[in-house]
Amino acid sequence: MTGATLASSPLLFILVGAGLLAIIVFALYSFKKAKKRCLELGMSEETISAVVKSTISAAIIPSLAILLGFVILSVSLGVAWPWWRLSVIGSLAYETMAAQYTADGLGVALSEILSSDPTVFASVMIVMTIGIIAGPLMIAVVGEKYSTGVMNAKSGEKGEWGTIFSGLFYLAMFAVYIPIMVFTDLPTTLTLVTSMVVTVIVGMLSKKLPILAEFTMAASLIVGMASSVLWASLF
Amino acid sequence: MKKENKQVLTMDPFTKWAHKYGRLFMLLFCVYILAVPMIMCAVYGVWPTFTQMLPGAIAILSINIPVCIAEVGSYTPILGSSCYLTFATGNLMNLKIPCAINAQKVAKVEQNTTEGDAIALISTCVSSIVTLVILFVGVMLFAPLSGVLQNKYISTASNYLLPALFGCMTLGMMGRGNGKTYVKNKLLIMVVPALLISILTIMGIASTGFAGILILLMIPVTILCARILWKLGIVKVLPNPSAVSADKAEEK
Repeated sequence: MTGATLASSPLLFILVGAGLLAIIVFALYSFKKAKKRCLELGMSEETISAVVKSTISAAIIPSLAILLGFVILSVSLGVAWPWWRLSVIGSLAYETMAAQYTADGLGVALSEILSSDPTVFASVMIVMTIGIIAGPLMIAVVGEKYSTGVMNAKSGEKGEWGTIFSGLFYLAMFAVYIPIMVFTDLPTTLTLVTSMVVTVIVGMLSKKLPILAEFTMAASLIVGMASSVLWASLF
Repeated sequence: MKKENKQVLTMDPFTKWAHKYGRLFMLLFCVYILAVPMIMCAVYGVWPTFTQMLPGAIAILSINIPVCIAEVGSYTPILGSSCYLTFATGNLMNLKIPCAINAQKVAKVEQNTTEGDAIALISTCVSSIVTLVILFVGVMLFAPLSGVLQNKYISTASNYLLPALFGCMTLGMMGRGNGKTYVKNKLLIMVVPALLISILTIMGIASTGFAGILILLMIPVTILCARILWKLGIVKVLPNPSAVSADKAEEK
């Protein structure tokens, strides 16, 4: 028996499938409840439909990038485990790093995990899981108090300062990401600018053809990422 | 009396439901993701030793615990009650948060309001399902897809997902938004934290890999700057002219 025996085990596929099915059921039920709430709050079916269409179109390209991560990771960890890990919590960067560190600790190369003793693959699975569990546990404990606290600051007794305060987390996020993207390298900056230009153009076009507004993000993503190939080859 | 007001504000039925079941889901989810490797080890009788796992576990936990704290601290206020599903399905900055912000823009609702919260949850549910479906298709069509996806142009383009996403979101952030009020001169609040991050990036210290930690560090700086600018009367909340004109148009 090798790591590949565990990695391609039907049991692992069943466990992954069952977990993903549970997430889909929860997501669909949450969707139903949120939609009902939106209708109660006076939003129209058309608005909700526009949100759904816009989200689907905006989510496809990033999901394809995640799929690429799955293909890369599957070379060293098989199909089932990367499928599970990239569907829940993880990201390519984290998963690769966690697998690499565990393999290093065992004195095995990443490419040798599947052909090694099965305890190597078992170690990788356990360490990758333990390493990522802190975020979900923290959310389960503090999520409600933290997010409702910010909502209260906005709508509650704190008035003008509350309104300013509730938007500061969003501004802090941009204050970090934008300088990093501008000063890291030229292709990154030019991709950012291209995406901004496409957003402006689609925004102008959508004044004449309102349905385009739903696809602004998808268009910016596709053109921005396509342009990055050109920028990366030029600079 | 104040406490009673707070109760009314936080406990609308939807928010209450979303948090109650979100927390329950999250706890069950944590148990399940821990159970998957344990079940595999038990069924196949291949328990690794503690010493086998220790070096990798120390390395990954020492990096990941601060990152997890930073991500929870930084992104939860943006996500509201959709934080549970978002943290369960991952891919925060490269998918869930941009989609949620985009959805709020399309629906013309504000963040950190009941409406914004419900729309963010709709967006998170939809984007999570899209990713799960695409990954499922990828697993089914694994052999033909792997060749296409490993094409060098697609690999290059996928490295630039974040700047392409932020290009779209930045313009929305600069605008007045869809609320009844807007914050005048809000971009001035960002000047000091953005300058600090610019210096750190030029020095080669800041990178997207540490963004969660950097955001957590910049939140107090941003709050301090906002407080000073607000006290000086430079940053203030004013009625949003576009929302007022939209209301008038609706009344007509």
